[in-house]
Amino acid sequence: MNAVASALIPIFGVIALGWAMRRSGLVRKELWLGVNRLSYQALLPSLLFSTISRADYAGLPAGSFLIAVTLGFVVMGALCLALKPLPVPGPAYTSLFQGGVRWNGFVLLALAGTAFGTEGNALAALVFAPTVPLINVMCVVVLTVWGTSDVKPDARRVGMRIVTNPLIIACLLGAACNALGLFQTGPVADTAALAGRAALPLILMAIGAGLDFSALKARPKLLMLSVSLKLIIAPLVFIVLGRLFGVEGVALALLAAIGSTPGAAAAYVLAAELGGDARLMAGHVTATTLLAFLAMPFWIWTTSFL
Amino acid sequence: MTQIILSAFLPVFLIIALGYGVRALGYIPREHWRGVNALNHRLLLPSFLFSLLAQAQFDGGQSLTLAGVSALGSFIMIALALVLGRMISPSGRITAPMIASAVMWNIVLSLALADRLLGDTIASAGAAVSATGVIIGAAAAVAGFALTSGRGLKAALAKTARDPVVLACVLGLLANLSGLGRISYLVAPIEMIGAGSMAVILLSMGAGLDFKALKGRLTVLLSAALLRTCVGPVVYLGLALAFGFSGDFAVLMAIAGAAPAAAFIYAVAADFDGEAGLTAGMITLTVLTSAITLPVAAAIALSL
Repeated sequence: MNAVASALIPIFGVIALGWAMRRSGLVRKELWLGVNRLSYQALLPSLLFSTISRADYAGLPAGSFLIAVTLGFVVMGALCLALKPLPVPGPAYTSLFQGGVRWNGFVLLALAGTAFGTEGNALAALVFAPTVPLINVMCVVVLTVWGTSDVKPDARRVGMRIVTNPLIIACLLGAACNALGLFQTGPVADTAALAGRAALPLILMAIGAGLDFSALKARPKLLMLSVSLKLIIAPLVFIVLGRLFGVEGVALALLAAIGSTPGAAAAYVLAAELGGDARLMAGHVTATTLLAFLAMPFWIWTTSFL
Repeated sequence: MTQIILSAFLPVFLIIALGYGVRALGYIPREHWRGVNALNHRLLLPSFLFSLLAQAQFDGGQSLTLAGVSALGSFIMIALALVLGRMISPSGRITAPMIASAVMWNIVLSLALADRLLGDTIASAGAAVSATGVIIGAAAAVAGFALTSGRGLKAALAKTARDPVVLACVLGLLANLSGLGRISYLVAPIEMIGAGSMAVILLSMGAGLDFKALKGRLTVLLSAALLRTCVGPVVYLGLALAFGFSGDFAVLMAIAGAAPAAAFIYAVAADFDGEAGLTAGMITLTVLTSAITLPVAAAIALSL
């Protein structure tokens, strides 16, 4: 069994355990709010800071990789906009859009360390800084135009949400410390590493706890389209862009992985908040989480021929 | 040596302080920690202990002797807590948390410190000491609260047998003995959760610190803290030396002896309508005193 499949088994095992914990009532649905909050506010920022601040980027194609990743999300946004003429209600369309552009970076982070070594880990952590604000702005704009919520987002509030996003702050702080050679060892580095180790198991369990199989019945045709966008079109777009920018090897495999990660649970939260089709979004996240187990190794494998 | 101990211990205590800080500042409010605590007790801590025990490489006689020394330490701590509890108050409701805090040390904290100070070669010895400590400690803590709440031994036994932490220890040992623990695909997800659980448990330990619970009943609180974090290392290190253990093993036992009380005894106290406030105070004070006694105990054991 190859390294990617071997790395994915425990990842999906942990997701399944999270689902089982919620389904069995051992950790009830409402209690996961605290787990999510702890992961996003403290543990994931620690992991990103720890990884980026101590990574050795010398010799890594970080520049071309980041350009390809960022452009990949822009292209996916444009492709999703091109689907607007489809005869679907506005809220359902916003969920189709979010389904096409939102990705689950945490599955990638969990995979990168095991399957792609330190080089993959260092590159994967970098992706968050440019893509978190870009994707959030694209999704909020689309939801503002086609969502049904009376609550329209305040541009200043959206801006503040991005500027104060703990993941972005952690990435930028990590990059600054890396450049300045700060906190490479010592108590701060050790504390961040220790806290960061807990991030991925916890967030993977929270992903599992959020799976909603009943939502798979919502708008089956649209769901099929959004899943195809995420797991077939997106990986192709990222791989093609990677090749156009001369990305190869581990970095190209990472691009394929980014394209084929499942949808992110944050999409469901935003859809519920800003008048999107939250049920379709829940179905999309559930379906892509299950199918990514096949899609990710397949697309990563295809890059070995390029 | 001071430098080695500080660099090993400081990050662990900083994580605990971080947990307290994010809760106290309202960054992650108190009610959100309920989910984290539930996950800790029902999945993270059991996964940590299961993977530790399932993959431990027990080397026959030495592991058994270590487990025996750990068990003897637990029984001595129970006896001392009984005597001290009775001296302070005739009420069993005071003695129960005294026993629980004396016998049930914080396994995750002690193993995190041992790992940072001694490296992962101590993991199997840590597993032997911890499994015995958890099983005897949890049984004693539950029995103490159950008997003083009037629910009797049957309720205590039922609660102990269903406890996820105790079950994880028993299943981990069975997986180890049967060889199932070495089938990597079977234990990989549990191992992944277990590996990450340490920081979450330490963070929620910090978030659970309750300084208001330290007000009043100072004699009881100080006695419990003294017993757990000052007498504890003397008992465990003394036993280790008496049974011929030295070096890393002696340090491991000293750390187990000086570690603070386990946070989960608060949940047991609350479940049995025991003195939950007093128990919270004991946990909080032992965390504070252990910040001093743990490095001292480790330094003494290292210098022997």
